Amino acid sequence: MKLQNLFILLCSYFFYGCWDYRFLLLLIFSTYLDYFTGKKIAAARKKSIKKTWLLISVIVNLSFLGFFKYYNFFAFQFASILDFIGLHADVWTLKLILPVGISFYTFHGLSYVFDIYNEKFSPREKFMDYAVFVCFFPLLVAGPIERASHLLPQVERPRHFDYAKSINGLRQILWGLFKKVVIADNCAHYANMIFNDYRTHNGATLFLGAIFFSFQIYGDFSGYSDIALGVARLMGFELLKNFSYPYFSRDIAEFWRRWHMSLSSWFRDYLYIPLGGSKVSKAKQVRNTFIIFMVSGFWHGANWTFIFWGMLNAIYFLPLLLSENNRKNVNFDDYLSLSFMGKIKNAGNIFFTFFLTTIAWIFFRSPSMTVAFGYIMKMFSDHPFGRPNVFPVDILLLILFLVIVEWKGKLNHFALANFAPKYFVLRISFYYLIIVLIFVYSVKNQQFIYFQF
Amino acid sequence: MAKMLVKILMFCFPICIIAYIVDMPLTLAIRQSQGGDTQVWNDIIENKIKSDILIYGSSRALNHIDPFILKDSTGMSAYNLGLSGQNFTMMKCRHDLIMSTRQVPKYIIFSLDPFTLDKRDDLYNCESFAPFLNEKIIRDATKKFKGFDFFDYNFPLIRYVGMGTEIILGIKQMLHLKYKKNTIFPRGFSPHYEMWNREFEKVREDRKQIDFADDSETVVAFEQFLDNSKKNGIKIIFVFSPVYKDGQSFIENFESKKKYFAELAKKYDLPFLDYTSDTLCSDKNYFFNSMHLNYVGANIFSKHLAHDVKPLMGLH
Repeated sequence: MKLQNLFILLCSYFFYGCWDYRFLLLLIFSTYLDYFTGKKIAAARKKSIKKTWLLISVIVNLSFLGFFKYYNFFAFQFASILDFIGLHADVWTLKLILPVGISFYTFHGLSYVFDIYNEKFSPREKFMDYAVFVCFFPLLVAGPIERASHLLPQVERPRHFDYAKSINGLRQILWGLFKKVVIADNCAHYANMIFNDYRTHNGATLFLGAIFFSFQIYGDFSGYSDIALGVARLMGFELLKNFSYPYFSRDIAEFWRRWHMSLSSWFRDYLYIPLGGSKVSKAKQVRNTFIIFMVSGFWHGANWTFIFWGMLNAIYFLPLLLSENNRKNVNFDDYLSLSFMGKIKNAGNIFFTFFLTTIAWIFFRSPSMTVAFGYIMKMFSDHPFGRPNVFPVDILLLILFLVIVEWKGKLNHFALANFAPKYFVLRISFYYLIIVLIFVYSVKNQQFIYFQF
Repeated sequence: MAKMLVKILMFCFPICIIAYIVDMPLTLAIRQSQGGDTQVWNDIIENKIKSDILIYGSSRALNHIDPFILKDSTGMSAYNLGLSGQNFTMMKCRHDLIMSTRQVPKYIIFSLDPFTLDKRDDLYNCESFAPFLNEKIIRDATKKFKGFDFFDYNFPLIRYVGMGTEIILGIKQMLHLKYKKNTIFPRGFSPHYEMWNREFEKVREDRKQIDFADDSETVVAFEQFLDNSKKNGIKIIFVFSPVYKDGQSFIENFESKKKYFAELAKKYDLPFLDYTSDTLCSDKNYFFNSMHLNYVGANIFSKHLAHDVKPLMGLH
């Protein structure tokens, strides 16, 4: 087990170093800081001392995150404010490289110290085990954001090869590759084309561009998560599920329980609940909801567009919260028992939720608020029901294929988890089809979107 | 574990076999289904270029020199072998292929640029070379750049990853389905129909000036090429086609580059036609960016050039 963990740790450092070895020191420092403060918190007898060590960890971690991710944003905002009151300042901006995965590993570490502080988890003695939890390469750069209570016990016990789990892992990797390479990268091509030149397109094309981006970001991030979960499963680990068919959600509350689940639950546990969660007055619940969504937006990037994206989602969420309908749609199981009219209503809700989400993604994708509003205005005012000038039939068919496969597998852990057609030939042919699609539709030089966060 | 490895191998085996079987027909189909650079490579490999005058150079040669105007003026057939985004290294590759077919031209009009002898690391328009990696000369030339990796060179079909459009066109060609070929370069010529596009202004916002350094290896190869051409009885004419006046001042060592080519011309006793002081150079209407003439400029320039090369070819 010790050797297994050492091997994983070395592989993880090598993997991270391949991107930029200079930031390995930052990663190791961050890991050691949380390991050390975690021990100190547990050892402290007084609450005030525990709190001091927790604050040290939080401040240092968030300082690194703030410096690399948000320094330029705040410098520009400060200069703009000075400009507004008539004082001109030359902002001192830095050309900083954002260390890949810093938002993810910082949150890993913070969850560990928070859990120790809340006495939900005891600190670990072996630094190597803890380091594997923070740096485990499949999740190091783009999540899922793991919890110590979930992953560390798996790190600490020996892992044995499991044929069924490994085959399942390979299947999830294949489906993840399809989502990333075929769906996300090809949608990115058209979304970029339309967003970068939105003034020259009509409303219908802009609407299509927004849909392409919705599938780009879904394919990109859920594809990466599938690959990460599949690779981890090959090595005997079960990582937290990060996506659960979010575009089949029937309302925004359900969407947020199905999209980037590890981040949503992180914010719920370490921000929403400490703020009082849903056990406070309605006014405070509304305040908490806005805080959560706006912080989540800001976590994604240092730009007003991300903050507005978060705020817009909070606005979507508000009617559900006020009418206490935010937990109305939880599972997909109830689909099966629905009447025909119920199914039609459900389909309507799914399309409406997807529509709201797609509008919100426009802010996420746009470089500035001006562009986002310009895009939306044009989308609704310039022939929204006209004929799109960009209409790649093959990519739309591939999206339809993705939707059908995911719909069929929506009750499973991932779309192909229980994929077992009666005939062996059919099953194998399906896998070969996916491989051929990956080969034909792969696009060169497309990064994962979430690497930048 | 062994059971899974065996299953993976059994799963991959048909893929490998099919990849080896499909590679050659798909390669041929992609070659046939593509226009542009691919069509020019095809013409060279299939020994279809039997012209007296060949035009060498980069995209400036490709966009500027009309072989039909040269033919009308000189009465000799011409073919433009200009290669976009490339300097002498890849041009030499085309020349070596031409020489291997023993179709020795009478004249080479070599369109010079400030970056002719520069070295770039990446292989520009890498995809266009993928169907030709089984041609030794092209394969060896591409290895000098960062473009293809070990797997691309040694495993079937891998080099086509990321070339979905080309693969689909190739499949349509294989199945005799209808498709639209991309741009055709008639006798290798590709005039550009865009007017001034403000790319130059954008570049100038970031940088005040640029300069190009000669690569010693490329310089040696270039001189060898001049020497061998002379020995083979090929007459080379150096041409420096128009560059927009602000574009000339944007290149720090523009004058020294020209001077160097003038000295080389003198050393190898070659004519050197310099059009960087031509009236075309002061009018944006003839260019689409600082280095490239648009189709209007290219038409006027090709006529000037055709007129000027005639006496150099002993024609009146």
